[in-house]
Amino acid sequence: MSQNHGTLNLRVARIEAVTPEIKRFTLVSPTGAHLPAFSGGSHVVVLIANQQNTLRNPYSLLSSPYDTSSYQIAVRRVDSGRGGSVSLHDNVAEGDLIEVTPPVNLFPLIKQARLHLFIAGGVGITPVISQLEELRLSKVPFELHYAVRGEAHAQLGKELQATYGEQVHLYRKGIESRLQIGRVLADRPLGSHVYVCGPDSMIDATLACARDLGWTDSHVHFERFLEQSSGGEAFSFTLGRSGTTIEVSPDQTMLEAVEAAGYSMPYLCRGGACGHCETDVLELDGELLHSDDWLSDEDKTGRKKIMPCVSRARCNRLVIDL
Amino acid sequence: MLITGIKSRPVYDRLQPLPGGTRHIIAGQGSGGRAMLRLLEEMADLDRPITLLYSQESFSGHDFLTQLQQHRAHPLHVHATNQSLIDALKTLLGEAHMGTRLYLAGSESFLGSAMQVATHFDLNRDEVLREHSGTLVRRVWCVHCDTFTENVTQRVYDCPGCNLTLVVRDHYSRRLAAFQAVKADAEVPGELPEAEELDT
Amino acid sequence: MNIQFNPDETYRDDYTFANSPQTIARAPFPFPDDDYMYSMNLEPHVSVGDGAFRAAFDIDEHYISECRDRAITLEKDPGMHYVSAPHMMEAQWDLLELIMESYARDYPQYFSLAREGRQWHWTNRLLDIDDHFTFGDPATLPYEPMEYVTRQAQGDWVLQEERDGTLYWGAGIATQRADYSLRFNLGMSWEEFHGPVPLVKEIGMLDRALKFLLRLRTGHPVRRLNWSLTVNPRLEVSAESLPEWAPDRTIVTAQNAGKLVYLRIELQPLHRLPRSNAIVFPIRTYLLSLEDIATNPAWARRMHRVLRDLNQQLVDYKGFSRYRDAAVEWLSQYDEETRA
Repeated sequence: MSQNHGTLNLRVARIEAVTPEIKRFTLVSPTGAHLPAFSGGSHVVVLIANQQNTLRNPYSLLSSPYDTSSYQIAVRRVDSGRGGSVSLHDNVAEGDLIEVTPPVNLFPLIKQARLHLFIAGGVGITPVISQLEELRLSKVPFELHYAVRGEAHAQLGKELQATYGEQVHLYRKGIESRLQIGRVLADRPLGSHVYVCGPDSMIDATLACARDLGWTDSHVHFERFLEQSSGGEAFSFTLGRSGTTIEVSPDQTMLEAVEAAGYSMPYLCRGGACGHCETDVLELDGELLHSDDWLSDEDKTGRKKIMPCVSRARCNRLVIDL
Repeated sequence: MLITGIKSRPVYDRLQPLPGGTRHIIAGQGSGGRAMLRLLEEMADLDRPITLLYSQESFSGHDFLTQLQQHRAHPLHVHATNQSLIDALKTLLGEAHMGTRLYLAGSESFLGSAMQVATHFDLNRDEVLREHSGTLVRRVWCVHCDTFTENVTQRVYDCPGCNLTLVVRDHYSRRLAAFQAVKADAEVPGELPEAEELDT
Repeated sequence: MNIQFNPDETYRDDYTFANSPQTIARAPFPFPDDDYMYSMNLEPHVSVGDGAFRAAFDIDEHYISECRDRAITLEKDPGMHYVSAPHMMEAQWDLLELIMESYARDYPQYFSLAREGRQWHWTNRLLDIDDHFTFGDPATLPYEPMEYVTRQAQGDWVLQEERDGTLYWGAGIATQRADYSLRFNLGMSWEEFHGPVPLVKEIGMLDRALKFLLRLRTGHPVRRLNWSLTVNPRLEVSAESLPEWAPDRTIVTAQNAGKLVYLRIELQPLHRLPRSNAIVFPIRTYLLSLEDIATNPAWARRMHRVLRDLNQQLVDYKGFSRYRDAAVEWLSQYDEETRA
C-alpha cells in the first residue's frame, strides 16, 4: 500500500572519511527492518535543518539494491554551498537520526543495453556504484572509466577495482594518463549505452564526443548534481471564496497545503492527469508553474486555470476559485 | 503510404538521412527499391560509408536491382529472398558500431522481420527508419494453431494450418511481425463475417 | 478476520462457482454513474475499509479454487498463458518480493515470510506450501519467480518495462484474460496493445494515462477499475480458446440472463517495482452474475442504465453485442423507470 507521503527516519550506523572531502554514511532503520528496495542510480533526499529553513540535498545511493538492510550515501563537503554538506560533515555523528525521502531514480540503467559504459569524475561515482551492484546479476558486459584529482581521492575507485577487477579503469591525476573520452566511446558495438556523472565539463565533453562519433541521444545518459532537488520554492495563495491565505512549503503541493489547512477540494489521481482538481484562477500577479498533463497548451498560457495537485506558482498574489 | 486507420499498426516513416550518422545501412525489398533510390539521391553529398542490401523477392513483382547497381560507390549485396537478406543483416549489425543508421524499405512483412533484428541490437527510434511500400498484403498469425500465413489479402480466409475459417483482426504484433486472426464463426458455426478485401 | 474458502469450485464444464452474499457485497462495483465511458479513473491505492480495498492485493473466498483453475489452465497449454522475455528476470524477482511481502503483511493468518539476508522462507497455509529459497537465484525455485508466486495469487499479472519513453509488455501470467493472446501482445508498446480499444486514443486518454504512469513511484501505487461481461463464470476466455466459449453467447435469453450473464470486474492496483523500474499491472477479476448484482437493487438499476445506453463501439469491443438486449431486458425489472 501507499506509504505515508513522509520520510524515513534512519540511524547513522557508520561514518567513514574516504577522501579528504568525502564522507561515506551508512544508514539503517532504527528497528532493524529492511529498507525500501531501489534500482541502481537512485538517490535519496536528506532533509537538513538549518537556522532559517530545511535544506533538501539529494545524494545517490551507493549500496546494493539487493541488500536493503542498509543504505549508503557519500557526501562531498562543499564550503561554498548553502551549508547542507557542511552541516552533515560537522554536525552529524554515529548514532544520530537523520530524515531522508524514499529513493527515486532519475538515472536508471537501460535494461536492453548490450554494453554499459560508465564515465565518472570525483563524487560523480556515487550513482554508478549502485548501478554496478545491480549489474552483478546481469550477464551484460560493462566498463567503468573513473577520473579523480589524485591518489588522495582514489579510495572509492580502488574499492571498485578490488570488486570488479579489469572492468574498472582508474585515472588518477599525476599517476595514470588522462582519461580520453573519445577513445572510450569509439568503435563500440550497437546497443552500447554510456552513463556519465561528474563535473559539468566532463558531462559536456562526453556529450560532444558521443555526438561526433554518431551516438544518438537515446544511448547517452547523464546526471548533473544540482544543489536544489525537485519540489520548489515556498509560496502562498488565497482561497477566493473565504479569503483565507494558504502557505505552501517546498515539500507540499497546493492540494496538500489546502488539506493541511483543514479544507477539502475535489481530487482523484493526485498526479495531474485526470482533471478532477481543475480550478479557475481569479487573480494572478506572477506566473503559474504548470506540471500537469491535463490542461491544453492554450490553457497553460492562458493563466486562468491551474491543477493544484501538482502545479505551483511564483507570484506576489494568486487567488483561486475555491 | 500505408493508411493509419488501424491504431495498432506501426506508423511508418518516410526515409530521409538521419542526422549524425557515421555509417548508413540501407536495406530494402521489391518495390522498396524506389525509396532506397530516393534516399541515395538525398545522400549524394554525404561523405560517409553506405552499405546497400536488396532482396528481389516481391509480391508485386517490382525489381529495382538495375537502378541500384548504378550506385557503384557503395557495396550492394543482392539476395533472392527476404529471409536471406534478414540473415545477412543480422551478421552485418553484429559487426557494426555505434554511429550506424539503418533504413528499411519494403512490405510490412519485410519491415516487421527486419525490425525484429534491429530490436535485438537495441536500435532505437533515433537510429532506424522504416518506409512502407508495395501492396498492403498482410502476414497473419492464427491464434489457434500458431501458423503464419503470408500475403493475406482477404478479411476472411482458411488457415492452412488448422483449416478453420479465420477473420483477420486489425491488430498487429511487432514481436511476431504479424496480424492476429481468430475463428471467424466462433459464435455460430457457419455464420461468417462479410468477405472484404483488406486495406482497400 | 478469517475467510470461509470454497476449495472446490469449477470455472468450466459444470461451473459450480458461486458467490456468498459477503463476497457480492464487498465487490468493487465499477459504475460510478448511470452512464459509462472510459475515463482517467486512477486513484491512489490506499487502504480503505475492510473490503476489497483493504489489502494491497485482495484475496477472497475463491482463492483456493482460482489457484487450482490456474494450475489446470497452465497444465493444459504450456507456453500459452505464461510468458516472459529473458531480460525481465529482475522484474520477476521484484514482483515475487512485492506479492510475498503484501500477502504476509495483509493476511498473516494465511501467509508467512521470513528473511535472513538472501535466504527466504515462504509459507502458504492455504495451498500447503512451505518453501526455502535464495532470493535472486532461480535455481532454488521449482518455477521461474513470477510463475512461482503468481500460481499462488489471485488475478492475472502483467509486467511492463519502461523503455524509449513508453511502456512495453515484458512478461505476463494471464489465465483469466478476456479475449486477447498473451504471446501476441508480448513486446507491444503502450499504444500498440491498446490498439483495438475503441475511442481511448481519440479522447486523449491514452497519452495522459501513459504520462501519468511513467511518473509512478515505488511506494505510491494507484488503482483503477475496468469491466466486461462473460457468459457463465468462466475465467479462461482467451483469444486462443474463442471457439470453446464464444458459442455460449448465443444461448442467453431475457429469461436466463440473470443466471448466465456475469459482470467481470477488473481491479488493477498498479505498482512501480523498485529494482527493475518496471510497472506491474495486476488484473484481479471478480465475477458477479446479474442475479448476484440484483441482490443490491441500486446496483441493478444502475447497471441496467449503463448497459442500455452504452456506446455500441464499446459493446462490440467487449464482445456482448449478441446478448446486450437480453441482459438489458432482464435488468429492466429492477429499474422503476422502465417498469410498465
